[in-house]
Amino acid sequence: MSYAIHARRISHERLGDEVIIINLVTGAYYAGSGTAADVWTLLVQGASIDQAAEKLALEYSGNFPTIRDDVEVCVTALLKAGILDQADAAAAPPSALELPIIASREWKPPAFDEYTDMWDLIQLDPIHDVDDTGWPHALPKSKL
Amino acid sequence: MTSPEVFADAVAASCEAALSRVGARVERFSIGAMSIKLVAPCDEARPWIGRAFLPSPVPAAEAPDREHCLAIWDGTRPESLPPPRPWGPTAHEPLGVIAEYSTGTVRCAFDIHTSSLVVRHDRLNASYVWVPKLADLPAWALASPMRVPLSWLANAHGMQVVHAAAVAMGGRAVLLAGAGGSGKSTTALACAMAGMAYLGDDYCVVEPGMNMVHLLYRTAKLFQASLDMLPKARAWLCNPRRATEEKGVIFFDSSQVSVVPSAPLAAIVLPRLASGERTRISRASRREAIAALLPSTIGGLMGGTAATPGLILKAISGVPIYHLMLGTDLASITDTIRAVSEAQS
Repeated sequence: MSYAIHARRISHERLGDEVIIINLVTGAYYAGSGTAADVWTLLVQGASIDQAAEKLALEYSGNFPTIRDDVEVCVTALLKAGILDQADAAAAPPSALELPIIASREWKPPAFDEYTDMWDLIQLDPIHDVDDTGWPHALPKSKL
Repeated sequence: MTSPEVFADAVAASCEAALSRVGARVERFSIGAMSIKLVAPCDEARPWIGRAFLPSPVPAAEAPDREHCLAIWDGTRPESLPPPRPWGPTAHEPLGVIAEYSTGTVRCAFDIHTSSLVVRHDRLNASYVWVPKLADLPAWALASPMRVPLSWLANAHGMQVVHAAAVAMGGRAVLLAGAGGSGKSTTALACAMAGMAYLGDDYCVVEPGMNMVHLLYRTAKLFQASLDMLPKARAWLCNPRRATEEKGVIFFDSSQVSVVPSAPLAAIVLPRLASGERTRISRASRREAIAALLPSTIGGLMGGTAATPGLILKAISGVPIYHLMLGTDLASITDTIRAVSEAQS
């Protein structure tokens, strides 16, 4: 099973050891570094959990079963958050998985900083309604 | 079903008709290499919405078709309203962007804070904003107008509007990033009043490809506590009678502080209130800079666009990042920012 990223809904970028993923529909964002960035990079390339774990075990000189379990936990969380979708079963397998060259890697369970309360942030001034013209209409109020 | 292009064309026509009835004022400003023509109603009944922008010192662009038109109009009488919305009453939730009407060439949004409709129309190289009544906009809205269409425009030009303040010294800018109440505005204004150049206290524009910070608004919004620390600024407030109920708002002119359009980014600092008189710094990580910049930037800009993650990562990647533990002594704050700036020379 590989995974797909909804291009219109999800925007993501990796630079160096950091990755940022934004759900453009909800405003939720996820930021990670190190192992989290590497797992994401492999998933973006179409890796399954097993394929990602194999590549990571090689890169990190780590224990495959442990790494596979950690990757599965991470993927499950990303699926639950709506960041990843399960790919079409007919999707072609990745030809070669690549990771950026980084001087030293130490395996840690991948974890993303997440911020999912964007609606609370946006609703600092929550008063709005729909008027007779059909437009949401509210008197501007002070905010912050 | 009305297509996004057809709706955007209708919005453009409504705006043009409304502005031709009431009379429009045109003013130009720039953000980096972006030239923007602001078109807005101009009469005694309405505040000039362009007051927050630093007028461009250069004449209009030689190629007017490359100039982006940013037009705003208002009114709730039938002839002034935008065309009927072709989407449902909650289509703008949760972020404000109307996803079904945001394609590659048109982008539509509704801002719940000002009840404004925002439409970007790429084919016309124009953005349109409708508000119910310009005269009813509170001072904070006039201090940071049209933030969302400007952020979309910035993204299309390799720039990112960020929720941050910025000051500069010797041509080296320090970006101050943090949540509301972290001390950004107080720090920025204290530095500006101590002689540093001012690039904004709430929203700035970063251009990672050029490693630059650009001014977006020549304004400041200050809590009462900040005004107590900077009593001289009280005389500059445009809303002195309301400063206890809402943030005090200042529109700067050149006699007050040195407002500059741009400066190279030298460092990022993440301020937070701390105990003691002296202000201290310590190194911070890129991950901490992301945590300081991203939530309020995304929240204030309706989620950003597909370009936002890359632009933010690039903006923070090449500069040192520091925690700034703010003490109560203003001179210590400005000395510390000055030292951070000078250390990058």
